[in-house]
Amino acid sequence: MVDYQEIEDRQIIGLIASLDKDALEELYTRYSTSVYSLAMYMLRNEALAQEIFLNIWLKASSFNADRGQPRSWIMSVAHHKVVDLIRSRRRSTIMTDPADYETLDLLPSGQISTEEEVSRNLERERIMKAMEILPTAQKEVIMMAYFEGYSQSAMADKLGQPLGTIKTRVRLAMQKLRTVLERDDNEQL
Amino acid sequence: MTTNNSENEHWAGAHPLELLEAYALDALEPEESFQVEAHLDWCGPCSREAARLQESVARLELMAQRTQPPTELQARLMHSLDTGSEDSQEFSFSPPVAASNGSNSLFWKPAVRFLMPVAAMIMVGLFSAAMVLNVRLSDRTDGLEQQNSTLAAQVGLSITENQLEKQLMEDKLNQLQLTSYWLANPANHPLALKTSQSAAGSKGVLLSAKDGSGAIIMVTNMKTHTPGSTYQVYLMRQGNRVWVAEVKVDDQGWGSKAYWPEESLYRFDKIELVSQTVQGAAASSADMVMEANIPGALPSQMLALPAWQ
Repeated sequence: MVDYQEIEDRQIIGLIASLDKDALEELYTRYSTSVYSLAMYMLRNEALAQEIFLNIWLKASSFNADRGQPRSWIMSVAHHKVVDLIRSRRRSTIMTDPADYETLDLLPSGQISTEEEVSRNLERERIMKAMEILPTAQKEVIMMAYFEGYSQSAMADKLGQPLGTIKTRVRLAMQKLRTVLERDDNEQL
Repeated sequence: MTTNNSENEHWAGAHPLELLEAYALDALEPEESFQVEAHLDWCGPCSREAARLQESVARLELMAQRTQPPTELQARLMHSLDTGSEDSQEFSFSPPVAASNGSNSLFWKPAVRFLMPVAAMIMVGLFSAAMVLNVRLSDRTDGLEQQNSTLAAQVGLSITENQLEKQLMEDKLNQLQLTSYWLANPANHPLALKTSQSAAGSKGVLLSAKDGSGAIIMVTNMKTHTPGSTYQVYLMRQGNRVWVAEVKVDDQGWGSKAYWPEESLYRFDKIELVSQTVQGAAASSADMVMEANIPGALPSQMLALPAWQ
């Protein structure tokens, strides 16, 4: 009897690639909240989470452990699906005023019930602080790209900026974000 | 957006470093995204850079308000894998319950005393008719539910099969695109693979990057060898073997796989393709399908590719 809870994420994905439904169920247990939260936040679409996991079921064989962490791959599949849907519907679903992003302030943690929740809240704090370090214009392009599904050219149209400016802004924003997060990761060790 | 030959040459040699950040954010146009993905399939350094960026991007989801999914979502997901059917609603039919609302004063009236038995008989009749109708309707409903389940299962299976087929087609297209990029790059060096007697008729070639950091192996006519559709690729050095890739062939016997070993290809002595379905299994001489000695890092020592027959 296989204890799926003891199996690492990358092995779980390997099992899913072998059409192991129990493995998919275990992966669902681990990531459903993250995937569902993203789908609801970006599109208010409950059924989308189900479609995302079906996508994982179909694409599991394409996961390459050399190309990144399982979590990154899963959230990338999820995000890509959401963005595809947003673009196909050709509508923005969330606020576009950078000032509105203030609503993403860290929610009170309230009573902490599990160690996992503590860890997640700490991770959330770190990403929020990292984003706060970015200049407003750079933060804006990341939010528009990630949470609103804008492509660079669509952002250029929306913001009335040259495409080259947006591309540079995206590059600098991501490089800075990555540097801050990796530095923070090293300090945690 | 269509690509012309000059753009293909550009992609074959250049690294789209300026697009990786946008790629990680899903902020590229579909055509750009596809080309970057094709590049990442064979370029180890770019692939690792993209992976690091995607790790940072993946953490952005933490900023979204956390929402627990409904408990039935998991069941719906697993059910959709099994049958693709939606939950059916139960049909229930309850016979009418006779209601009585007499008052004591009414009971003693002659008309009431006469009509009540009649009413009771009518009620019994109606009740019986309702029971018969219930049975017939239940049977009909069961039949319809069964038909619905069968149809839904067929549709679900068809949808799943179509999705699988679509995925296979996409994988095949990616493979072909990747192979064409390798072939188009004049800096890559070909090495013909020698086939074993048991694999007569099959052909294979290894295209490697100039520095040996990556390579693509292409095989054809593999159906003449074994019914199996999976082959394992090993690099050999002083008798030790290192697994590097798995090649899947299609029903036409064609297959290709790009890979990038941890060390340069030219630090190994030999490459072997064996007919195993899983990596790591002990190989016998009968398993070996193709092989080639890897020369030193001197392109001039590469074997000339023999003419295809």
